[in-house]
Amino acid sequence: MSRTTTAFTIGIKEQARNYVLVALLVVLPVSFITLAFAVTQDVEMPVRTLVDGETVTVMRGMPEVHGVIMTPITSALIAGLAGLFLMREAKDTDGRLAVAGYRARQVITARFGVLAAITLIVTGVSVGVMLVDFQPEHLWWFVAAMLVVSVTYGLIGMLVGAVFDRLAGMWLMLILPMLDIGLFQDPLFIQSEPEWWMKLLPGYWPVRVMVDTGLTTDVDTTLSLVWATGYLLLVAVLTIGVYYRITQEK
Amino acid sequence: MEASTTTKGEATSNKVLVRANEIEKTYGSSFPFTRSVTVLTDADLEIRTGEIVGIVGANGSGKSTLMNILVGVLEQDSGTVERTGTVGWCPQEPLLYDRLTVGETFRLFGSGYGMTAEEIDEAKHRLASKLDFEQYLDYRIDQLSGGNRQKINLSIALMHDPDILMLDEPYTGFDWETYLTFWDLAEELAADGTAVTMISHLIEEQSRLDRIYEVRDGQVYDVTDQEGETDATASERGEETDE
Repeated sequence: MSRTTTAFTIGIKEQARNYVLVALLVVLPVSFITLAFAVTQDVEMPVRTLVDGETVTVMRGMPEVHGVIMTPITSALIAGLAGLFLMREAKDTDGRLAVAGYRARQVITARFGVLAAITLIVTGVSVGVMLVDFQPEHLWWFVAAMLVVSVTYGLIGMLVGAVFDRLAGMWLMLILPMLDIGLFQDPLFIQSEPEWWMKLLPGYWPVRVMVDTGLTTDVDTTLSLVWATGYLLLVAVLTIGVYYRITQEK
Repeated sequence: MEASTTTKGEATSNKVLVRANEIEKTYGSSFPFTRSVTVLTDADLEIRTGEIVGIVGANGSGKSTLMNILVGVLEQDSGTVERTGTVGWCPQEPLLYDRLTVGETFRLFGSGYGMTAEEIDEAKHRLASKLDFEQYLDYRIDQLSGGNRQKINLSIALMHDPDILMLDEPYTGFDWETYLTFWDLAEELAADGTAVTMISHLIEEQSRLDRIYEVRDGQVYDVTDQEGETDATASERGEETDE
């Protein structure tokens, strides 16, 4: 078995024994997504989105809009915390793996593989819980945007873990997705053109895709998904650079 | 101490395995209004095959910093480090993954060392028997006592029979029997040609060392042939010494 495969399989076992992460995976989707659908008042609300390439305001049920927003918040929050835990635990010890002979790229591949696996599970569980109450108009576009925003937040969690300690990192990763997706990208709050700085946040492009493909019958946000993927790649390059610096033998 | 290298010297060519030249290290901070601390200035050192080398010094003198630079986990600001051969490193705080079992820990690091599954298994059982942790092989690291964690920490450094062994206070938490076993092991390895380097605080250990380097004022002094105790050992007992 190659070093990368060994580090990946053992890394998966290690994360499966992280009971905090497993508990978050069970508790958060139900308490965030299911409750969002259950307690939100069933009234029509105006939602700004793209229809036939034009930004228009459409009326949609508040539970659907709230559900569409709470699903990526849940996934981004858990993925972000997973990335944070992964980096905090690995920061010192992965340097020892380098002394033992692991190449930085082998450790990075294994760790990113573990994060990707966690993100897939988190996204799957979040979307699965959402589907009980709500069917997006274009499920696979919605899932694609969910994956992009979750992986992006997972990587941001790793970056935060490289700089901050566990407690400060946890606060940051709890607050950031809430503010970004739950406030600055939420069409229930933002009824006009978003400020320029809101467009720089990680949730901007993916949430545009989710609002469009979740709540309207046409797909008008292909370009937004491309931008979201570009944003993800940028964060990935930055994270790889930081991780490489941590794990390479000097 | 010089005499004790005779047999070890015969076993090997007394080749230099680690050479550090003019090492400098200052810990800075990216935050404003915080001070930077200069730890090493112009530190030189050589470690040869078959030697048991002690690195001593007062608290905060830079012993661990020096070892981390020699191992390669910390980058020096300037100077060079040349290493020849495989390295085993036992850090002061056990750097292990808490949620892995002892067996998984051996597999993970053994794979890094390029060992086969059989070699990993053999090393695991040999060291478990020697250091008396056979009953804990299926335990998770976070379920072990401090002493047993330290045994695993040491074993991971030893499992691939390295050419250079770097140990940062490796016996912390050991009971007396394990402490003695550790020294038997270190002497066996040195007799086989391994360069064993350890950070040591205990005065009585110095008779076991072939060479002693003292880290003081950012520099490294060879104090092997000095009569009596070093400044560091005296200062650790709270005595005033002349610089």
